[in-house]
Amino acid sequence: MTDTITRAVVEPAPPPTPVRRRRGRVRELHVLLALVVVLVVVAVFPGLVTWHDPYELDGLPFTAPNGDFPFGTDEIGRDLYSRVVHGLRVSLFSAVLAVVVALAGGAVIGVLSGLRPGGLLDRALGILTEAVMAIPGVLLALAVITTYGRGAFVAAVAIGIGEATGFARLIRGCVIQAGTLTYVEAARTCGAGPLRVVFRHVVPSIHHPVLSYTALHFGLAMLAIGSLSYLGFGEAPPSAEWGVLIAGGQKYLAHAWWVAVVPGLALTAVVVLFSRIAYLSQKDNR
Amino acid sequence: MTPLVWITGLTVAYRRAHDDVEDTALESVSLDVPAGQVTAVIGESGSGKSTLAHAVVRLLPHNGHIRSGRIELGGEDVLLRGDREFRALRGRHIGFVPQDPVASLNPTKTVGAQLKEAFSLARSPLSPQAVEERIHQDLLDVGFADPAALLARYPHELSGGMRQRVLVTIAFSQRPRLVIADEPTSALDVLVGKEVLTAIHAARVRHDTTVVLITHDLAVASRNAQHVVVMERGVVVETGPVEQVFAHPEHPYTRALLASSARVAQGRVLSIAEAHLRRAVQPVRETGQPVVELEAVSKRFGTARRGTLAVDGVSLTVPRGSTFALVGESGSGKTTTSRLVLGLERPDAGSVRVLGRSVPDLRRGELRDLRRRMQVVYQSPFESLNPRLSLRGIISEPLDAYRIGSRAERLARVDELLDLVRLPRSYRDRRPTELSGGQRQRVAIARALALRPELLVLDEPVSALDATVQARVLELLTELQRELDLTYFLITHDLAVVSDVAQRVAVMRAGRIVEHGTTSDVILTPHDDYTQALLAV
Repeated sequence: MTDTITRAVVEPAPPPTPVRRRRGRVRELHVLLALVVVLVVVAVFPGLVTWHDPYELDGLPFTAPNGDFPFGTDEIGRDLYSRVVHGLRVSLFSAVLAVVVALAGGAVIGVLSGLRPGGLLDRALGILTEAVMAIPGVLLALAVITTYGRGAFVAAVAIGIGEATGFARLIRGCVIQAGTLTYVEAARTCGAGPLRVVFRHVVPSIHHPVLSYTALHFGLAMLAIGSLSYLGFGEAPPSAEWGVLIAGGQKYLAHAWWVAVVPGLALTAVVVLFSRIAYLSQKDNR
Repeated sequence: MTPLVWITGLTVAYRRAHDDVEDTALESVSLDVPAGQVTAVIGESGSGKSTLAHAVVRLLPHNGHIRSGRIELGGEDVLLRGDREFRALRGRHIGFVPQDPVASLNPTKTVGAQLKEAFSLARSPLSPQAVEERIHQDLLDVGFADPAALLARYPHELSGGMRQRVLVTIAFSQRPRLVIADEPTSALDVLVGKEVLTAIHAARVRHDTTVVLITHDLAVASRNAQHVVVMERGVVVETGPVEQVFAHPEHPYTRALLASSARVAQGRVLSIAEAHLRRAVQPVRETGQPVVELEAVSKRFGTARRGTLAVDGVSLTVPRGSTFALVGESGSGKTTTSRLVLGLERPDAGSVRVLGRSVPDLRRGELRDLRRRMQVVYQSPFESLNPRLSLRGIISEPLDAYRIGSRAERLARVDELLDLVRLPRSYRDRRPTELSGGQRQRVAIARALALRPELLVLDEPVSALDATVQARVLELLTELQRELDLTYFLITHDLAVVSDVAQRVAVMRAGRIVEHGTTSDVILTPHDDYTQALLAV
């Protein structure tokens, strides 16, 4: 009798603790990051994984997916698989450009306004970011494209400018919060100047939320660039940019679904990948 | 006497976040809690006393679990109950008073709603009317003059002491057999803490409840408990009646703990005055110009109509080479005063002179020059050191900021400073998270000394530390003062600390200085009522 009691206490079933869940999250994050690395390699060297030229008419029009053409062919017989892989480069790198523009702009504005909240500079920059926020992102991008001509990279810069406002707000908040940390005040009373305080103490303490926000917006930027190309304001055919592929394929949806659906799925998958990374890296900090 | 709680061989472990390693927090702890009395569990941070409390009420953090042992409450092994069945026990038979009264009440519900919730959660058989009557009576018992008005208020409208008394009321509301109070007063000012303990005692006596009081404060344990359990690193090292253990400690750790407390000797608590007479501070020669001079300084936060006068006409002088202590409770304006001295706030009226310069009139560059000569040590070494930097980076921060010396010279200075605060030189590549609280505070002191300042502002330098560590850090500060001819401006709420190190003291309340003079005068012959109340704790 006593025996069973003690055993019941001594050997409790290992509960699915948050520790375990956390370890699972870390593992998943590593897998997803490895996938990102694969994507980048493929984007840089698309020839490694394709065997047809994306612009040559290698097959018959509207060949259904088969061994030689894994994703089938499009309306004039180009290999869709090869086009999707080659299109990744444009999509990925224009999204990188958009996020770099957004992060750089947002960091400068956010740090400058967070240094003295409520100061003259903060108020001026606040008005500026709110003015930009008031304009819908797509409209802003269209205005930039109309002025500077179409193309994925122009669209990327335009989207980056729109998204910089969100980054600026986030970073401003983080900087203000970090300013109240005792060790930041301690650095100030040690005689450290404002630049020193920012680069040595504030920036390192806020990089976590900013990184996860960046991952999320990377995916969203890809989506926005795709949308612009789809509308005809980004890349132009015969480019293999995904938005262009979707736009080109939608006319044939009824009898050759793969021409539009496959690039659409690819875009969705990559966006989900990045938002999942954002989610996991945010969870991981707590 | 029959024990109410009987714990045998309790072992609790925490799983680490990144690997499968488990840290044992309690190692086969056995003890019994006599019914109807107060048992104090004492020990320093990390001794496992809170883990013990949480294991008994089954509120361990999710990475903690009970590996083996028995916890019997009134003859029943409660570990055999499932979580659901145990929940019926908690609240109805076991009450819990948490450490942090701010985080422990729901800010979106009125006090009345939360008191009533305690009854519905415990499935109390009382009628709604009886519940209301009981709440009313209980609140009167813990010292609320007007319970009806209190019920409609939200927690944020109450002071810390009032919130803690509400939590005491909740803990006792179901007339449990056992109430566990986990450091119920350590987040509160001394006088307020005293009120809360009085409330606990009143409720305990009226309802014949057994109380387990977890505390790090030996004076609190000695005054409030009949039995004591001494814990060190997860192990119970000594148990027994309080008088016996405190008068004739058997375990070396108990002896060390008692020796570190200036307040407990030969098994009884000394008054602050008695303790002061036992270890009087050395007088110092007060020479030359005063280092800090405040004259009729006022500082208001907010607008003239709706603001608070944080500092109200404060005048004080700090002679060179001595320690000046500014004593007061939270909200008394002592920290604001220190920030005025450091030039972190500007006074609305009056003059602030530090090292012969008028601080509010200084330009930014001049203030920066003055800061070379005055440095700060903050209250919590867990917050004042950047966790991402190595000790070398932290300690040489002021040297880097003022571009003093070459890289090699700065490095040598860091080593020198580590020697000065009695830390091994090999620590320079460690990060603050690898150090204990006392070691971290030594690092903060080393950083403050890097520029060879003349004045150190010590803002509650030891109140975040354990008692034995406190004594050592204070000792270090006293030695450094002698070696380096430093002047200390000490901010504290603890008169016991004052009597150990300060030559002069000023007592502050609601922005005003109510009493000041030499430490002996203030402690032995206090004139102000408030000072007397503080000393009577």
